[in-house]
Amino acid sequence: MQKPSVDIVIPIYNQSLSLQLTLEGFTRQTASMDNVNIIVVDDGSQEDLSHIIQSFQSTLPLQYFALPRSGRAVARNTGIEKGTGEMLIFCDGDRIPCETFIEEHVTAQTKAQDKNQSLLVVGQVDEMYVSHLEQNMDKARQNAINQRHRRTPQYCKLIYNLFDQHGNTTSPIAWLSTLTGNLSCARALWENIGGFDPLFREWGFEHFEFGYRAFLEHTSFVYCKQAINTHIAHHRNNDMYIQHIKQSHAYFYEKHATTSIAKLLDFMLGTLSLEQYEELAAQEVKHAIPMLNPNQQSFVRIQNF
Amino acid sequence: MDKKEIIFQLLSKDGCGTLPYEQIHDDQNMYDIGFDSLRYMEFIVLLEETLEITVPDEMLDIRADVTLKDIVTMVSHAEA
Repeated sequence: MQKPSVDIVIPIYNQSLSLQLTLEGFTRQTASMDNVNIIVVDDGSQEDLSHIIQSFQSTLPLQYFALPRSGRAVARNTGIEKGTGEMLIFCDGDRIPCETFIEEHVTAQTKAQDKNQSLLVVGQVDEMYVSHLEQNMDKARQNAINQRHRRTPQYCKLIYNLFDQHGNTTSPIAWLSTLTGNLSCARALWENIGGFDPLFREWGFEHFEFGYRAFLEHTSFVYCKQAINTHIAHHRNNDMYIQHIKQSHAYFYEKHATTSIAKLLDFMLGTLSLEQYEELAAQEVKHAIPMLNPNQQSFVRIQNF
Repeated sequence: MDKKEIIFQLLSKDGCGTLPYEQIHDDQNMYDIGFDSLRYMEFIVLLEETLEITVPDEMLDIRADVTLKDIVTMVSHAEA
């Protein structure tokens, strides 16, 4: 089977140093870049990113589009619309891809294509913590290259439990793994589902809502733990994230008034366990089977992921 | 070197902190010794790698009401 053409969509808002490290990561890929197109969508940054883009023009198949501030959903949709690749890989601008990142996503998607299967491939998110990144670029670079000094964020660690050892799941809440910082799907899937909802303008949930629609259309979710990218963590204000989560959840529930979505807020705020949430969702979603042990209790502790 | 000394060293300039080892004390909290949420997570990763433990989820948020003595106690109970 011929390898599909690939668009890598990178939305970015400021974070020029992280973008530099992310694009460097794409220069180290094991996969041939012949069929690959990297599309960076600047979502109204105040920082000047043009010098970063220019410095990679000769080494990467790079396109750059600047938008007025529109939110991540619009930025991703725009990037996809500008490309033509049969396969889409989403990688945020502050995520350094491992060397086999493209190869792993393409392999997983190609297998699905062979089976004529609709698939969302969830990559492995790790995180590194580097204070004063401007003074420690090389430290961050070496951490990424040598795959050290990083850990899996608490939310991601929880969610990966929804998958078995082969990366498969039948969970009624599999869509909770739709984290667009590291995800791939066929362009046809994105088109069939109708893209990301542009009305999610604040942080959070546009990715879950996209995944939820895909799930309702019986899309399979696969976790590929070899497709690693490493988030360069930044300072966080948990109160702000909680406020955004509440706003985004209200709109999500307005669109999908189901028990699964009603209870999502309790889960995200850490008052309902992942196991309880899966059990509740299983009562509503007949085509799914829970993956978790109901006797265990795991809670979201950190909302910024 | 005992566990407390290792932890304080990681919290000092020798690890990922901002103060010399001599200025790190039991009754201080993370903010007192110049940490923020990002530097705190840097410390958590160092701690896990150095002591080969998994830090419990309850410890992942930087808190003003948790002293360095409390952190040493929590780390002592963390699983390998």
